[in-house]
Amino acid sequence: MDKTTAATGAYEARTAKHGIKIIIWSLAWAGSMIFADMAAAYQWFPSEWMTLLSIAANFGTGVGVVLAYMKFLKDQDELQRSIQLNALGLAVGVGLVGGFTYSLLVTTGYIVDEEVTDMILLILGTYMAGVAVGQIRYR
Amino acid sequence: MKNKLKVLRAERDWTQADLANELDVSRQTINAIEKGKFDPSLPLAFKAARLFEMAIEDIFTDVTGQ
Repeated sequence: MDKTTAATGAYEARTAKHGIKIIIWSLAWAGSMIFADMAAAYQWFPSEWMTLLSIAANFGTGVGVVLAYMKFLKDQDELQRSIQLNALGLAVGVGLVGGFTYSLLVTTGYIVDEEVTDMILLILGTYMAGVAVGQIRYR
Repeated sequence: MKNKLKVLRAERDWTQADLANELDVSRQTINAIEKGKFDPSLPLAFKAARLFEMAIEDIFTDVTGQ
């Protein structure tokens, strides 16, 4: 076997490319969110349609993140796809159950200052923990 | 499932990374298969068989139900 070919690490190179694309889209999404949020807070835009446009841009970059992530998943090998699937399933489950529990806690007054970001962080944290556990399990 | 990947790899003086590159998977996948922690899919098993020019059943042995 040609050692030069082996040194290329085609799979790793593709995974790294996908990772870079996800990071770029994520930064664009975060940046557009910060911009839209600050623009609304400090009333930068003279008209309402510009505010809506900034929100649409944020949504568009968010779609870019999702598509980049889906391409990443499609290109993963079977073990990595299995790890990702388990982590995503866990995150969705925790998000659903946690979301309804959170809603009940808000309704019953145990949580007063409800924040959407709480659920987002819970789902994201669960997903990351799921991936970490999967990677360790198959180490 | 048992397999002879490690032996076949050693016979050719390949690292796990070398084999992973040949099969277009991650090194972690090769490691997991060799340790019996993960069973390869049929396409991947066929790919390995073609690479080593052997029959699938000569590389992979199903031990479930034994």
